[in-house]
Amino acid sequence: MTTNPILGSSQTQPTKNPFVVESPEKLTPQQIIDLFVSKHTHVESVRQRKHTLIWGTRGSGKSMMLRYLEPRCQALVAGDVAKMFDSDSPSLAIYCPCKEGQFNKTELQLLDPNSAMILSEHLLNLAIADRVAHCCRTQFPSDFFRACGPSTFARSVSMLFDGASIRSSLREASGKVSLDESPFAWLEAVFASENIKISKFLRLNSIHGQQGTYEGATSGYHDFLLPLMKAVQQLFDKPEMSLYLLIDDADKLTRSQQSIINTWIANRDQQAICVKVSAQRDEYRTFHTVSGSLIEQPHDYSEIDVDELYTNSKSDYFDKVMLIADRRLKLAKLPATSILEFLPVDAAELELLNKIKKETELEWSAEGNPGDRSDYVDRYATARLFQHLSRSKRRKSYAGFQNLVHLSSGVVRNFLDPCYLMFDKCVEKGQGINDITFIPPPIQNDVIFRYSEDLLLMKFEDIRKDLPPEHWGKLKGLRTLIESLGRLFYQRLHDRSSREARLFSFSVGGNIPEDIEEILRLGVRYRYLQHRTYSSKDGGGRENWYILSRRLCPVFKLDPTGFEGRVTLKPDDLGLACQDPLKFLRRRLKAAEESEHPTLFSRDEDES
Amino acid sequence: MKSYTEHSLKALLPTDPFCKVKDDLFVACASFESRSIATARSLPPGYWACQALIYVNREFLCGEPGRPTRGNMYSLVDFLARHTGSTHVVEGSWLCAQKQWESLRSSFDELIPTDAVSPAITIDVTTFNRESLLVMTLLLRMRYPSSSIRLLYAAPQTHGEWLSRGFRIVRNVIGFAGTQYPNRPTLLVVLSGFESERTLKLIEEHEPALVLLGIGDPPSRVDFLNRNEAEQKLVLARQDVRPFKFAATDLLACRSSLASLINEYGGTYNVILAPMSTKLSTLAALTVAEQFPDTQITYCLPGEYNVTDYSTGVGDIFLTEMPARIIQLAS
Repeated sequence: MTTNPILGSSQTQPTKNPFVVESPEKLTPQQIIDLFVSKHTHVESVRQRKHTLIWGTRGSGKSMMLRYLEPRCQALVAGDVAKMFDSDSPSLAIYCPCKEGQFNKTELQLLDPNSAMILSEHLLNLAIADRVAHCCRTQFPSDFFRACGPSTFARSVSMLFDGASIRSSLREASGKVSLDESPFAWLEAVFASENIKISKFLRLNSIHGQQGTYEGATSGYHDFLLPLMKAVQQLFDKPEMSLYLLIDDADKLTRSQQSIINTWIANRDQQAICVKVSAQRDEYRTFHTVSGSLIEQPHDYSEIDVDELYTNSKSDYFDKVMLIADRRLKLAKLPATSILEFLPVDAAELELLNKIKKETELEWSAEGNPGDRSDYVDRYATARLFQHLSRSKRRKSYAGFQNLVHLSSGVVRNFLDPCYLMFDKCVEKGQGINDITFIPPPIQNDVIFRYSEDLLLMKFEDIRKDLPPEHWGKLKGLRTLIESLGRLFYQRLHDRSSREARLFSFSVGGNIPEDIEEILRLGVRYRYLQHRTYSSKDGGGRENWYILSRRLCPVFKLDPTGFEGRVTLKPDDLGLACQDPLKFLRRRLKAAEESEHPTLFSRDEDES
Repeated sequence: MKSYTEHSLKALLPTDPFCKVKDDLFVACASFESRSIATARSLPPGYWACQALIYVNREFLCGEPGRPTRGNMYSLVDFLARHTGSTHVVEGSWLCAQKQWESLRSSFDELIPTDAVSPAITIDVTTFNRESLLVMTLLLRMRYPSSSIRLLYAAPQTHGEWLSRGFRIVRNVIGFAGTQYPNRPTLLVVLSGFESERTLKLIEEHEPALVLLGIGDPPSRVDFLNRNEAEQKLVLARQDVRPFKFAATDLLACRSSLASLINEYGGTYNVILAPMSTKLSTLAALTVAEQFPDTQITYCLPGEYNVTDYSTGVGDIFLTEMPARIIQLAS
């Protein structure tokens, strides 16, 4: 007899920290509904009957959104399973996560590309079909379907495969589960048996080379996936229903597997199958189909970027974070119910800012009333505050909900994580969980400075581990570039004569050399930079625009509160910025002195 | 398991069982570590194998590891020429799994007749990277099911401050893809060693619902246990990580621990095994994956190895046998 060598369970205690971030897979449907805020999350766009690619970094809430769309959650939202389909264009969402090692098996590299493609598509189809059967079995009450509906469905789906190839799997499944008593479980057993055949073939092929014989079935889009979806429509007795395939973490698929998904998208069968693919943008490596054609926007699919750019109080993102945070406070049953009150600003600094605003109004008069007074105050008062604090050697406070939203740089996780640490710190200091009515600004500041510093120091160390040594030079270039930009923006903000002081973005005039382009790509990949394009002033197309992560503002003493133009850098400048911050700074300051009117102000609304 | 010093292994008489078995094949790996030649250097005069195969990762033949690796490769050729009919060198790849697999497979095709009934093979596992060790042993055991395989391992006296840094890719080891059932959560079982960063990377990539973190206890050396525990502290502090013990140098005991875990969890989880400890526990993972073919073995390819200070000196040399395969009749 063998013994269980487990020593004991983990030490973790259930937390009452309202800002804890749990993997959506570990949440119950009710918890998902409680925590998910549908407003401003693009969920309505995802609900549209269009193929959709959903981009977002880890922690941006993609999985949460997809899980929210599953029937088990939607039934709770609608109040009843049947009501969930009360819509002009009803849909059934099937969550299909791509796990490491599930589809991207190394053994596929040993097959010829064509065989690997066929087997990959079958593997994907089996996983989807399995998820469909499992969803029907576990997320709908057994009396939801017509009396013989499930068994008819199971039979018709099993007949989609080649009869001879599937025979042994049908026999095996019938030996385990009764088709008539548990049709969905029986189907799952059929798929499991087919899955095992693939594994067995891959193993034998890896041992004996190309001599192995595959004994299972194969399935494609037109002969399996599409008819499967039609069978689901019949099962639900809703011929107008579309099946939404929520393919999460598609960056865990191989390039050729991604091209299979693209081929499905290119078929434009949204009325039966609507593919929703979520991935990190830079990890989705191809937009080609299996036959080599490109899928294009908007004909083939629509695109959603979950990561937000604008964070000001009029932005959807600001509103979204407020709703999420308020919801979490409410669920935790804390005395505070408003996140605005829970994360107060530094009162002394607010007073100082108000005083400086009055002085700036006087400055506006002294300058001869240039432009609108309130615009002038908006533009210069915060800069003057930074300049004042620097002169008096006082640290800028970044406390306050609004500041923390800005510093999260459009990623909700970057707001929740520091809040979690702040709450924890209050508990560490001896406050009872139910006594925490707000987070004192000094605690907010301590955490947010460390969080900012982590991105500049620790995160680079983590990324280094993530990259092979031959890419470390690029990483060093990125580190230097961030340092250069931080210093440049600091100089602009603390220069009293600067016209556009509150800068944290740049554009590049001219062609960027490949090595610098790679550094910029690395910066975007690891969220040091956000990349957008904007219309060039001469109307000649779109130009690249890079925004420094506002999470870095505390460590560089920058103002995260507004987009006031951008610095235009020449490729040469950028090259220097990746090598030597001091030389870069000297060159830029010299250029600024020589130019009476540096970069012109450009309005936020123009950007996209 | 028997243990020898370099001297006592060399002093074995021709009548000793180790020498009495005439091997069909002796396999070793040339690497940048000086101990990669310790076993071949200490083979007793009475030992004989028909053929020798020296495996070398081509990436280690250039750059910083190039010089020591080539030196060790030439020494291995020299030492093994005294004990074998012919010696062959095969270049595999540490980076490319396909190349690694192809080189090993074609070498065995060439060196062992396909009709060989029960070839006798001795593998010096000392400096094989875990992935190539798993692929090679699987190929030998599956292609020659009646083969008898002996394992030799030369332990170092000390390990460097760090063994590897960074990551390149996480991939399943060829031949061990396992079967993943779409509706099951993932269980990651780690046989941990001194590389906690790689453990964390595996957790990050697989996003398991549960992690069972194995600590080598009893360890191969007492001070290794302390270091193992210290290195994995950060991993153990995470949610959903539970510790367990495994015997780091006892293949059968380690296999038994792993098998009991898979018996318990295998029905409800997709099990991913990550052997990151001793070579013997790595091979224990192999035998368990043979027994439970749904199990996947995963591997995190490091960014770089500590070429100059991976290990120093040679401690004991261990000799053991690969246990017979256990075939699960129904999954």
